[in-house]
Amino acid sequence: MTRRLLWLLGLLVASSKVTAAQDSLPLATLDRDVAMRLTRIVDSAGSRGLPTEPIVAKISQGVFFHAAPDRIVVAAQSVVARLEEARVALAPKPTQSDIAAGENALGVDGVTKTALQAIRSTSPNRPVAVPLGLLAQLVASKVPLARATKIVTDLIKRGASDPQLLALGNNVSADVVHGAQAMASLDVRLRGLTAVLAPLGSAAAAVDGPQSAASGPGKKP
Amino acid sequence: MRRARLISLVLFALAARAPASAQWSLTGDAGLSHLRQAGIPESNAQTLGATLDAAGERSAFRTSFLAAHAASDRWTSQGLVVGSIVGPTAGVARWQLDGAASAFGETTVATTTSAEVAARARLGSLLRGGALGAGIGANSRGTAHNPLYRAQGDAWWSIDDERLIVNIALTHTRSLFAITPTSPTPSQHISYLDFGANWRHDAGGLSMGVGGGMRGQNESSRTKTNGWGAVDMAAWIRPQLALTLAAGSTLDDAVRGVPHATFASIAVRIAAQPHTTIFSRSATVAGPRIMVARAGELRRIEIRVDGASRVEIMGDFTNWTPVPLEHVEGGWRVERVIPPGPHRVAIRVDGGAWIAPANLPRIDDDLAGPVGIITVP
Repeated sequence: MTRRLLWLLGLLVASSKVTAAQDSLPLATLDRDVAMRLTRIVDSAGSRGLPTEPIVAKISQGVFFHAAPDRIVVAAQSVVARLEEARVALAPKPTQSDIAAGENALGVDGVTKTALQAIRSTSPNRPVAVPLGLLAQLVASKVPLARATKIVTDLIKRGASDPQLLALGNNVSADVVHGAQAMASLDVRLRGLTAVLAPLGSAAAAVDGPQSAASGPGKKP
Repeated sequence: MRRARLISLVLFALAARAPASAQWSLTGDAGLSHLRQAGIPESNAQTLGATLDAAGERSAFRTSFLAAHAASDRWTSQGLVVGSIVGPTAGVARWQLDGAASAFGETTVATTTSAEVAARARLGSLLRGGALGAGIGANSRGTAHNPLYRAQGDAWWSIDDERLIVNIALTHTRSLFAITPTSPTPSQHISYLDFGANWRHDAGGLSMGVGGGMRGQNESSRTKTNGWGAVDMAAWIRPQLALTLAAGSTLDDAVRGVPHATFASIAVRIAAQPHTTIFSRSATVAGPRIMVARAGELRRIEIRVDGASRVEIMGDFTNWTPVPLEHVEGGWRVERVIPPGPHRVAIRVDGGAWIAPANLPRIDDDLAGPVGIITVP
């Protein structure tokens, strides 16, 4: 009895979310057939437990930019496909934010499901939205996918915090805009970051020169 | 002595073979130095150095070598190998094993070698924390062999591109400087306390550092002063070429046998890997720049743009609905709930075209065209 009540309550919550998503759909300017198709796409995704906000956002975007109705439908279907792909890649228990972040990352040319899986397996019990953001930014900055994935997973393993990952992505992006090569910038930025993350603490100072600060100061000449 | 060397070698081997994906860098320096060092007449010297760094997930390794050729064909050279291995996180503390080996040689003076191993407990976070530990080792010059004991405490603090490290160490050994032709084995034990601080700024094509400290008891040193200090700077003028400047004074290193010195040097540095240069760093970003930060439960978006009277933003987090920003001192701002992760974003200034913020990587959106991709914390 209790289980049946919980199931009904869950269904109610899920359907209310889908209804809320549908309510926010900007369908007024679309013809009835397209509106119905889009509503079914959102409805179907919501009932499968996928976050509907990215789909609604994509439809809104198409409407805002006056895209052809068929293009909007195709774009919405692509978002659903990426959400599914992200959910599978980030299994077993991805949060809605993780799935949405995975979808956005997969939308960057070059990012693959395998890269998402690598990040999830490195961080199985923590949210991965920010690491996925770093991955997306690095790949969008023309860092090869394999290298970008390796960097993100290595940094996670070394305990890099979300702000550190965020700073790395932003700094590399800014350097690229400044005219630097993405890989050159990455090397420099990683050196700065790994100096902080390096398992050294004071030893980071100790390795600063032929004489450690501890045993006899300074580096000469 | 042999045992300490053996343990050091094992640590280096472990640190060096740690993940193949390790970050590494190799640099070589060549330059001129004005050098005043015990045992060598004050003179200008040609210097040559090399440094190899590697850092893995839980290990780090550095080896460096430096040689100076002074007047009257006098040579001085020193080499150092340092390795560290850190254990996995266990509660608030992690263990760390360090090893170091050094060699110092000077014309007319027997070569000094040393080896040390240390164990520490690391506390705190990666950005700020501390470590406490102790180590043993030995050094030798000629026929003299001395044991070495050390207790050490360290603290580190990092903010953005700045890093501050403070350390204190108590050393107990026999001074190599007590060796004379008539007394080849030093018998006098010495203990001294070193306190040091080091600040480093490392951003883009510019790296600079300032270090200094005091020695509590100066029976280990033959200098009148108990203080030391040094500054250094490297400016990358080409992706693999930097100009370096350094100056300072050091105390006697009773453990490694390196005598006190005063120096000022200039050198060119060649790197195996490319760097961002100071010139690319100083270029200005053309166009509006966007930043996002936490503001409690909300996320604060700030846009900096010159001479605008209206700035709007839209992205997947606004359902691609334009949202006007509020003008504040230094830029434009809006706060809203935004889920963490990557987001697509475009901005519009004074009712113009929707564009990607200048400081973000751009991607081609299937419906909106070029947009920026930003990571929200």
